[in-house]
Amino acid sequence: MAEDKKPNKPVKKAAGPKQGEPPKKPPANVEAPKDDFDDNIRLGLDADRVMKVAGGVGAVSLVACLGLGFTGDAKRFMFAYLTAYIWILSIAIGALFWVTLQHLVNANWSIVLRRVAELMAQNMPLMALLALPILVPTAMGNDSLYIWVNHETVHADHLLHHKAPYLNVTFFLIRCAIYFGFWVLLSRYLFQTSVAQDQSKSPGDLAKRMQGLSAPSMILLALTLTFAAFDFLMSLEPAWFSTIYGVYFFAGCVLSFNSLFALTLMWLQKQGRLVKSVSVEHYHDIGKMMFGFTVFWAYIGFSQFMLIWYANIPEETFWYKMRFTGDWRTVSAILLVCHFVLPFLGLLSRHIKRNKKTLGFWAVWILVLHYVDIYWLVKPSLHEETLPTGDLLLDVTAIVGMLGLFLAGAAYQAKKVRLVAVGDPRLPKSLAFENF
Amino acid sequence: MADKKKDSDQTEHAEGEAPLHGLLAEYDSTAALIAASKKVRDAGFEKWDTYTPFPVHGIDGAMGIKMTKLPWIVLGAAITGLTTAILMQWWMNAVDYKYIISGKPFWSIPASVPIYFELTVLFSAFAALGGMLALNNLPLPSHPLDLKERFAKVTDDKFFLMIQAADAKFDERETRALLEGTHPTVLDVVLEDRTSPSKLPTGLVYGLLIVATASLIPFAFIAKARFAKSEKTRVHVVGDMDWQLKFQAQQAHPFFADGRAERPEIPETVAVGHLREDDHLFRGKEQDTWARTFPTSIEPSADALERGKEKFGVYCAPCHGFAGDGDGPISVRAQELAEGTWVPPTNVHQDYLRQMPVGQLFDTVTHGIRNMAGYGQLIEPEDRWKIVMYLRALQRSRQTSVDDVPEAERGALK
Amino acid sequence: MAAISDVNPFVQPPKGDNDFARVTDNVSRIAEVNRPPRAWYIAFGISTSLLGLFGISVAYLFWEGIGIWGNMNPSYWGFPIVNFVFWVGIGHAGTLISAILYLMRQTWRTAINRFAEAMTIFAVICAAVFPGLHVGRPWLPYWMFPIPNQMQMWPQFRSPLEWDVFAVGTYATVSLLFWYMGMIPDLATFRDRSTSPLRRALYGAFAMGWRGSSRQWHRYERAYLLLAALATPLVLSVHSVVSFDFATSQMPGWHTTIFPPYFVAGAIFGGFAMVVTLAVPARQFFGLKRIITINHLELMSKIILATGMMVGYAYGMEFFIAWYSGSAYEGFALLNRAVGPFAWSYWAMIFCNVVTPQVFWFKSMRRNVWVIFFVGVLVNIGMWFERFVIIVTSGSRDFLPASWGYFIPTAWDFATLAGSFGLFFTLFLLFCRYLPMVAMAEVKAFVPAAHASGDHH
Repeated sequence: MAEDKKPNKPVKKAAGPKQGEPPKKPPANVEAPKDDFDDNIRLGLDADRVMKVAGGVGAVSLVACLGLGFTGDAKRFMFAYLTAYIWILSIAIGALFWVTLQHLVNANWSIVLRRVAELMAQNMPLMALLALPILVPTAMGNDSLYIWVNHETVHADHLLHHKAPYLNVTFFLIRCAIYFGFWVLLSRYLFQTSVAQDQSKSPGDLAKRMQGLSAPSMILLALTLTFAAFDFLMSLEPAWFSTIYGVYFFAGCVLSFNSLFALTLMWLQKQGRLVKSVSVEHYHDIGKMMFGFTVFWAYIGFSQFMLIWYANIPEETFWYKMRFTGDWRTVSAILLVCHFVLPFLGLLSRHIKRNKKTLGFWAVWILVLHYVDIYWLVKPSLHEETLPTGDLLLDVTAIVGMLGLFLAGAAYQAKKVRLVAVGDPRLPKSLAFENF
Repeated sequence: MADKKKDSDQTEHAEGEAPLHGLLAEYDSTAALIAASKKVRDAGFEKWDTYTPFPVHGIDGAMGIKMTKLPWIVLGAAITGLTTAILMQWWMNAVDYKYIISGKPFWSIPASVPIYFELTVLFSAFAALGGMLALNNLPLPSHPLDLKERFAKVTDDKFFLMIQAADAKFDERETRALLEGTHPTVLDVVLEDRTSPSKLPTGLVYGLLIVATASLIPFAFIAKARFAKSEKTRVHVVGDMDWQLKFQAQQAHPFFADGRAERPEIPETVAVGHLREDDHLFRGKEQDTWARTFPTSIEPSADALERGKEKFGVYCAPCHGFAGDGDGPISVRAQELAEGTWVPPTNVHQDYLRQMPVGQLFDTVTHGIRNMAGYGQLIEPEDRWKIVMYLRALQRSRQTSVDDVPEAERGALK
Repeated sequence: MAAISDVNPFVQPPKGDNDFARVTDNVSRIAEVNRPPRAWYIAFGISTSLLGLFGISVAYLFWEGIGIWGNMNPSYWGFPIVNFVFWVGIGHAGTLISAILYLMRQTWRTAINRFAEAMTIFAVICAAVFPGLHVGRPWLPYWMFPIPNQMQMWPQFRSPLEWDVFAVGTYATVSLLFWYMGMIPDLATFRDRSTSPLRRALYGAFAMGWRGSSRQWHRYERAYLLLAALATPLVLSVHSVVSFDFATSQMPGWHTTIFPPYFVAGAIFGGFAMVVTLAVPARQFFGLKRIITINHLELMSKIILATGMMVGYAYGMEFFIAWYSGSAYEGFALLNRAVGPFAWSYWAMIFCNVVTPQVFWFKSMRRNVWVIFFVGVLVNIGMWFERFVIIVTSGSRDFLPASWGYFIPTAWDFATLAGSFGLFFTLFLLFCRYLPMVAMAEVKAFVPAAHASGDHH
């Protein structure tokens, strides 16, 4: 995209409607009508379609995955399932974080997008359900995933014995109950209040109430997210520890959510929804988040690596050594190049962030690489040196299953509500929003 | 075009007065300025500009300003900065001045990342400011608009638009009419600046030249010192660091009769804890022959053997191996490298070592033998004896029969 | 004032009730009046006295050597490094406000960004002084730069301390460029208003002939955006690199992976606290209440609260992982902070950094300037203690109990610390007196009149 040929945005405005973009947004100072909103903001029958197709494919795929798990090697199944589960869970947590953050900072630009993110965050009960194949065997004392479940292993290992007050089945289940309980409650509350705002006579008060709640919620969200990362991921290698681990996981959550968010909005617009409300400016901002968190992920990942590599203490370096030997060395290199260098260069230009096709490409790219990242976190604990390529079918069925159910879950919620928080007093600002 | 401009100058202005530079319109609000800009843009002018106290939102489009090249300049600088950082660290630490530090490779990529980043940003930042100034033709000391007193308000609260007479489409009457149609609060002519001196004052130029030359003098001295030889010793900046108030070894001392600062041991004296009379305990000898028994203070016991095992593991096992077969990790590694100079450590299970008196084994531990270093400085005598005791146990372990096991515990062997 | 606070924050971001001329006048007058307010003279007198103390301390240090300080085996990194990290931290808020808040379109930052940037530069100057003093031979710090020299040696780039030289050096340079570039249009305003030829020449020279051309504004804004985009990761990198000084070591209490983001959050926290500490008196004495409104202070209080929580999160993670790791040394180091001989400093830090910002949960506290000022001062103290806790407790209790000791600062340590405040405030007060304290051009771009046209939305 040659820079000089492309007139900058005010010229476009003067010249008329933007080329190849949705028609003009309503003018800024016109109050958005509440009930006859000037756009298609109901998912309607398409919601059923998504539920049927995505839900059907997802359910079949997940059943297939579970079937393979019951007939095949339990350990391999558990690790494949956990990888896919963490991938989808990180997106759901990312959605919940994003919604809470918009309330916390009283953001204007994002109001028109907020409902879609709220719908994605509504999958928290589903997430709790999908966690059962991990939690039930663990509760029953199966140590194929977490070796600290086994009393004898713990007894024989001094370090595990030391950690037993934290890493034990009962406390683990209690913590999971707290995480999911909090996430479900928070996402439900923010969603229901936001829906109530659509009809409310005092939407400003509701907005204030949500903002007030978002501050303490953010603290709890930070803590639950961190400890969930410790419990589900870091304790796979119970001897290893890293204080930054929660932040690393958080970076992945926000990054993958923004990518799926952009893709969802693109799909909705393709279906003729939100065509007038969501503009290239909003995509630009989501693109900036993707870019920013690509850098942030690299910053956190590099900080963790640098400190462990430099200090060179065996009790920490073994974790990286596992990932730097055999096939995992290649995966590490792929993460560096494809999870950071390429998307960094690819998303640098504003033209790419303002073009749906290129942004969509990078969104898919990031979602795939985010899976590779989780894969790299989870699987070396079971498969040393070599990649478990034999588990490909397990991996794919688990991903497809969970993604399908995730989308179906969001569509199910979307059926009942508008796709835009039409009642929010900040909506006109969001519609008129422009980048500099 | 030049002719036309000259014509209009002559017709409109008296002889001798400065030529026309352009027409200046003043506005009160951003809205009026933007509306005017659109008109001027659509009229096809090129050499014109608006002047505002702050960046007016939307003016770029209204004036048809093209996106600047600045991002590309900055990108170029970023790449230069990154390349510089890579080459600099590689050359300085991996080629020209190699220095092993904390076990890191000479050219260590993770450890050089922070400086890659910093220099990339540093170069880019200079390019952003420098590029902006260069593209904007700044610094620009004087401008015809400076002669207009009202123009000083441009940095306060007024908005201006000026069309230059140099523009191809400029015609004083028509352009004036066009600008009047935009309802400016004031419409004025701007004349070329003939009053400001076109050159810097000579005094200032010479002054700057002298200062610039003088500023090179310190560098000249540094360059001279870099290559010249000198008979003088270096400057001692902190004297009390270089000449400390203490006597060092081999220095003269005026106080003592022999004039030495380093004092010899005083004859007929022994320092506390250094007497070491007991030949058996400290030297492993009884009446000048190697002792065949352990000193009385070293009682055989499970504790003593445990201690001996620990010390053997620390000091002996690296070469001799944990079982004493001469296959410790150092030896194994040395044989792997096969560099040809390695004398393999002794296998302690050989017959002559089994027969060797414990006193002689103790002496070997203390003073070493052949390639083996002495460990007397590192291990206390009691511990050396315990090592010998453990060694004896190791040797015995290869020579046992089932009869050595107490009757009661033989069952465990089955 | 009442009218401003009644504005619905959902519709209108907080801003003063200004028009263009009033903004120009309010800000320019500060530098144009013949006599600044008496408070300025008092503050300047105190600052220059402290600066004198700094001069004496440094002169005596050069004369006598660093033995005059309390740094002694095993705590070699006493006050000088504590002060260094403290000042670098203070220096973060300025660029954060300028760059990150700019990228996040927080338009309210225009009221405070200029003097926060100035604060950054002066704080970085104070910071850079300390490692220079700490090397003990102040004529040799050029060894840290890759300059060809008579020893035919190069700096050692695998050392975190060398990264620091580049990180702090780059940060100081880029902050200076950013500050200067932001000031160009305002210097032009000063030039155009000045009545004396000397002022006109000086401001004019630094304004470089800026005349507000829109074609120039276009490139200027792009350059500003680029600098902001460059400065944002730079802010993160600087304190991350400072944290590497500690965290790449194996020292218990220093080697923990959360250090980089934790240091950055702490720096922003301390930096914002310093901004409010300066902003409250500045608006009081220079009549800037219309521009730096109570709404601005409230927003800054919220940021202090948020970053305070982040710092609290890091304190918590350190403790949890110290236990969870099962490393005896790590566990001891953390326990030693809380109950060891330096426990007083640890609890002072917790009180100042974690407890006091909690008052900002209450709106009435966030809108009370004196509460804000007081919390700001306490947070500054707390952040100084944070560095003290990290550096001194770990340093004085390393792996070898035989070399444990207690750190006792000397009078010269305190004199140098107090003196560095003198340096900082002297520079800051001179800035208030002679340079545009508020980014006039940026404030004007956001006053209601700038958007009166309506048709360009």
